[in-house]
Amino acid sequence: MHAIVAAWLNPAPVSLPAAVHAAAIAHAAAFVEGQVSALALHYRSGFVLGLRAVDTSALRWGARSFVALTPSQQAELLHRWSVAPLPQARQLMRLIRTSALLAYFEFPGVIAAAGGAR
Amino acid sequence: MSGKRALVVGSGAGGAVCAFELATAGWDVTVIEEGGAFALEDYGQSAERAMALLYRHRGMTPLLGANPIAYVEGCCVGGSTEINSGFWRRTPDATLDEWATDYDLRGASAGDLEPHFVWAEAALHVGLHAGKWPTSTALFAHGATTLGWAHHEVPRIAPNCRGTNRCASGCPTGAKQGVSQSLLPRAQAAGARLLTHARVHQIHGDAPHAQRVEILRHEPGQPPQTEWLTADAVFLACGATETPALLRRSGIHHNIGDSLQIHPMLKVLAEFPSSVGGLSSVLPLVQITEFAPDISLGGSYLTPGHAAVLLADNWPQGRDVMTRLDRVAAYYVAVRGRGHGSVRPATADATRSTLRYAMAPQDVELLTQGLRHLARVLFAAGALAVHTGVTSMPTLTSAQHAERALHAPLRADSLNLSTVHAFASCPIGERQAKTAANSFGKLWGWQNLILADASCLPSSPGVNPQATVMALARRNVRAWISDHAATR
Repeated sequence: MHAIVAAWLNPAPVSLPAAVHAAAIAHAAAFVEGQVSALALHYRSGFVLGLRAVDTSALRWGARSFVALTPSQQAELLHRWSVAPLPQARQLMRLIRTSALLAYFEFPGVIAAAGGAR
Repeated sequence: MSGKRALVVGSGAGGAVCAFELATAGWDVTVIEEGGAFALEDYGQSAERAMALLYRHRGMTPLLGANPIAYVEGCCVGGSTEINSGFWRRTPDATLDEWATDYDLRGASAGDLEPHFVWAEAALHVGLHAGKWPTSTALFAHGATTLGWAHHEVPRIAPNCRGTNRCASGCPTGAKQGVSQSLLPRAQAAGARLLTHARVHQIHGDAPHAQRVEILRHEPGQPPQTEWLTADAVFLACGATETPALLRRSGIHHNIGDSLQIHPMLKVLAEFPSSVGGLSSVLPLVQITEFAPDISLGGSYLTPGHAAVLLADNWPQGRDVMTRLDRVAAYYVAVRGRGHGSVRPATADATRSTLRYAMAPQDVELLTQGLRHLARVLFAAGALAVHTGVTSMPTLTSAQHAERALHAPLRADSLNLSTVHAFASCPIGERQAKTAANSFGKLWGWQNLILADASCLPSSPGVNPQATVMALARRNVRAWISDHAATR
């Protein structure tokens, strides 16, 4: 999950120290996992299967997993899944993307950099 | 105390009204709330912390269908009144007339509801914004004035709002009068008890008399426990999704959970040439009513996290906007949904409901039209760009661009919709064939089960439902009290 979230958020969308960016990504990945755990069981199971399928689709580039892809390959793979004809694939990506973005930009160091006041 | 015991299931807009009225009338009242009780210090946290604390299933309660719609509701003392924007709209007269005609809903004319609205508005300190409008409001009003469109400032239940933009995380200043701040303390002062972390699993009894409820207690750090409470009357106020699920779990099915309706909503970010203070001021307060009741245009709170979510579906092209958030404000188009939904208890998990909603083709047409209107007014207000929540739609850069991009209905699956307005899952009225309860919320076939929440609205009100819920709940509970006068 961390690798997928990082692929969405790299490079840092707003100017901030690398350590804050890394911590915000870790925070966002943990949040996505928490959101998935709040899903009903059958959707949770579907989510896990979907993630495995994302990993498997790295084979297209001769890689064994998503993590082994280059950043540009990761970005392309996520884009393909985001616009896939299969609605479930798009929904999987949307859940990860929206949850990750919400948590990333609510992270204290990021929220300040984005101009938000807390 | 009368010795007559009332259970109120849910502590939100409807439940708080019931608790207050019953306790004041001398009933022995217990309010049963599934979520926890929180203090102001717990409010205003980051969105993701708030979702874990205040929302049902951390906000992961989508309406399923060909085009899933994000739906969230409060699960805490005060219910969704703790996490909404605090806008207050009375039920339109036309809607009440429609309910009288289509559902034979009696005793709910504008005149009948007037005293209940007046009471609730006093209890929640409903009023207009004190002081100068924030820039995001003034610009929106300017756009509407330029186009000659009807618009007005919507009253709120936040008389001293300080513009923290944390409405959805619980108002940290206490300015917003969620019922945990306003009405429930008065109910408790009148003797009502509040049971938190308690989910009513089933209602037991032989029709027409419910006798007791089965409660699953889940206090943090404690093993789950089952408890039973007996009751002379049970007021159902756990919302449009949970009330029908509870009734169905209890074996009550007549027109229960078959007619869920919503206001599908699409949000946009408007980018202006200079700072509008969207992150640090009161949310846009003006609503455009030119296209009511089918289409409403208005403003939404803004935090960096919420802005990013609105850009999520066009993230590569939209991410730069995150560096210019001081120039951005959030607005929405909401429509009076014509589709139909359902609520069913989940088969594999007793703590969940399965929510479904099928959009009607007219919903998509209205959303497309509404988005076109919204873009038009925002460009008339001086916006440089409008970033929509429509997948793969380029950023709109002019009114002409919006006209071209939105000349035909959008694909339903390109709309990233959300809603916080759900209702009508157990409609009331005298037409027994299409209603779950009589005009005053008493379930058909039962003497002591009374609806008092958004589930009992006959159909979509076309406006923020809190005022309607509170007025109908008060009317229902007062009718019950009048029929069952407590002996002090």
